[in-house]
Amino acid sequence: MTMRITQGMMANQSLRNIQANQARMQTLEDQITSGTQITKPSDDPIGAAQALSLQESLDQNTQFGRNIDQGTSWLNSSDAALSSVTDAIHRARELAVQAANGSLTPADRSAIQAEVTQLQHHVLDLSNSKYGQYFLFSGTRSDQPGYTQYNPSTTAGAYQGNSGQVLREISPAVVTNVNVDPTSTFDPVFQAMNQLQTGLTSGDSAAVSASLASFDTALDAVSLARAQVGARVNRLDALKQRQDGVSVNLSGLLSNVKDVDMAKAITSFTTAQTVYQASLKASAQMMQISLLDYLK
Amino acid sequence: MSSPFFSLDIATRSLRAQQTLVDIANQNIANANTPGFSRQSGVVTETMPYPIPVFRQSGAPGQLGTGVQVTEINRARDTFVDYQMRGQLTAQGSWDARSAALTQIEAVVNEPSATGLSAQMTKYFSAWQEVANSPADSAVRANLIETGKNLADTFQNSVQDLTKQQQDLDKQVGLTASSVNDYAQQIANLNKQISVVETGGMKANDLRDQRDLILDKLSSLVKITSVESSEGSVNVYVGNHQLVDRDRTHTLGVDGSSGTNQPVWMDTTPNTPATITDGKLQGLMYARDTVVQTRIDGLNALASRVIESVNSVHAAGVGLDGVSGRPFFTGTNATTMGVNAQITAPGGTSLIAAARMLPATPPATGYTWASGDSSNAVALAQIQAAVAQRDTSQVTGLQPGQSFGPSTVAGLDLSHSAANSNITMNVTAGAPNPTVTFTSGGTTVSATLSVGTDPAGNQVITADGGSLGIRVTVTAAAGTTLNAALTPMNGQVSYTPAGPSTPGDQYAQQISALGVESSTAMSRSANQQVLVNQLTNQRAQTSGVSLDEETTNLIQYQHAYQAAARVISVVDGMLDTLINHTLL
Repeated sequence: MTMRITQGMMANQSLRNIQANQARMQTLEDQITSGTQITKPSDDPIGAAQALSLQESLDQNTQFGRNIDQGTSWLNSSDAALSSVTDAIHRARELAVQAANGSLTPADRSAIQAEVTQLQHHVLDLSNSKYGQYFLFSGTRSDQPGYTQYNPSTTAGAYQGNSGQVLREISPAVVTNVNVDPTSTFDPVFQAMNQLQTGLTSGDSAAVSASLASFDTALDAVSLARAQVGARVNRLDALKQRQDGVSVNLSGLLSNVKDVDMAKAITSFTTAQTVYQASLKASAQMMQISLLDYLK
Repeated sequence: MSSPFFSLDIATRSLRAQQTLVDIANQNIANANTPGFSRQSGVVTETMPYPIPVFRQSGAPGQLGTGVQVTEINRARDTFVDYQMRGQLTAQGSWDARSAALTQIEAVVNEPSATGLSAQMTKYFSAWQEVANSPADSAVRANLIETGKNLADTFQNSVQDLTKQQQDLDKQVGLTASSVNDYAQQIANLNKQISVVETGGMKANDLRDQRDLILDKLSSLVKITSVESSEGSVNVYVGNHQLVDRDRTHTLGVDGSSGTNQPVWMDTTPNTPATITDGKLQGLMYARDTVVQTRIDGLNALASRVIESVNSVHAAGVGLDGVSGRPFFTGTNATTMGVNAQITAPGGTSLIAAARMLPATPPATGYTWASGDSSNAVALAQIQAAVAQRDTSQVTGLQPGQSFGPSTVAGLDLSHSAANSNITMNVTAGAPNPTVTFTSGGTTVSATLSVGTDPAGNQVITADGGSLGIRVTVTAAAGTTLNAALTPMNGQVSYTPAGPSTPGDQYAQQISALGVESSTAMSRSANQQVLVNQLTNQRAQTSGVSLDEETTNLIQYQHAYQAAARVISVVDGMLDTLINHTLL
């Protein structure tokens, strides 16, 4: 039996096909204009989950980058302060060498004494260096200065901070502290300077000479702290570079999952457009013909 | 020998028959675009010949035909296609409803996007990282509170939207049930008319078309079985219950006493629940009770996990006032989630617990805290990447049929479980190893007890509850005989919440499941559309009106009519000759 075709069938079929072609164009148009091929989970269920996870990792990685930057700044500020402390120790040690000479006039000695006092103030200031609103050398008690006087051996001059660690999470589950231990770094410096100051006040050249060894100890302590800071900065720099690489990789993966391949999408769109036009033309011509056209 | 009037009779009958056929074609053309209309055709037969054959025939050369008549008007209809069509419409109704609900859910969750829940979670935990970087900075703390509020709002809004959707679906269930009744009433009315017409010996083609159309519409709402009775009525059944009984109907209503509309048959006291297995009504109920509910449950589970883990860490830390024990979030699930009102109140930024009570630096003793300490903030930020925790508890007297739960095993926190129900362990003897069955929230997992030895030489029996996340380990001293029934002994029960590890993974899995379900529903719905289209074509092949065909027929009838009229004028001429010219 041959198939009976009716005008209604043709009209419905044409309409359905035209609508299907339009829907295809609309999907492609949506992809091209939004630039993403996943606008809702059903577009690509696995891809949507991957996109979420990758985006989360990327955002986390960016945050770790910020943590590292902030930690690096903290460490750099510490290093700058400690560098000045080193300079102060060197200068004080020079003064100690001069004072130990023994052939100083009282005027010379009082000049040295005045400069040592200045250096003591300078180191005290340095020990109260801040990063933003935080004191760098107070442990986690960073809302207050670590030292209020330059004589840690007295109760009032003792370290006021704590031994808490200033923590930064620098990569997943890796937490590092970015502060140096203030007491082991600053106490020897204050002690050496006090020793020199006391020796100068009492005119005790033996004490002045003895302070030279103390300055060496202080220098060692500060150098150790600076070495630690430097090592941490290097570690953070390396980590930051690695994380930049990871971010590039993650962005690439995310783009692979989410972004539209424009060349492909535009080609498909053009094809869909051609098909759509053809379907319109064919339908228009088909629907106009009827037996009635030929009957008089 | 026939008279000229006999010829006129034949011609008259022909004119009448051709006229009827033209009317039928006219009716077909008029209804070419009417939904449900079936092409009609006349059954044309010769009228009884004359004379009636008898044994001896005199004066006649033989039987003479007496003309033509239209004896019946039929509609072209394939009832098998109707039957198939209704089955497919039912399935389409169900998938369309599910697909529509899922599309709406996808719009609600709005993922992947920069403003979805996933992004809000990331922002919240990043804000904790920023607090860790600047623990005493009130601007940073204020930002954390805002991100916390946004996270809670996103959870709340999502669940509110989904609940609203559930309510809409529930309303639609009620409306669909009343549509079913409307259609049933229309079928009953048509049944009455059809049986009146057809017992009178005619065919009620147009009424039948209307009834078939309504049966199609009804079948997309519920799965029906229709049986035609001898007098032309159609009896309709939904499941085993009659919906239309000739010219009477049984009412399908809804009972909202359980909180949601449940279809019931109203013709019994008390009303009996209606079994709805397919169609739009079933699709709507499935969407309401399962599709949307699954998403609500998922969001609630995720929210309670975030609330629980954030609060337990937050309460362990101290604010800038040195006080610990404050929760960050209030509420227990996505619906009730919010940020602790103390924290959102003016000055609340200082209550954020970024620091911890730590041992004081000697010579000071005891515990102290410092504003620059961010150890708790770091721990809170790490929740984002934290795998679901495993709770472990020692139990004594572990025995067959043991029921585990927050109340039965101290220290074992089963609150991560979505069903939050106790887990039951049942040990059954078997060779070579006994079997343990774990049951939780309707899911049962079987495991075989495996017996091994630990480094210390103790015998260890383990049973792993797999996807339930529960694991039982019993350690017995070397030499202890382990019998098949597992006599009560001491052991360790651990519970790891099932599912993906981090909160982000948990959410991503929910989104993926939503996507799979939605794309499946969409393609099933599209497939049904293809099947329905195919059947529509098949039906149109039989029942559809072809204008070319009708025009062709019309011309045929026109010619036959013209010829019959010509016969009349020929006979008229004959009579004229006979009457006016013969006797003169």
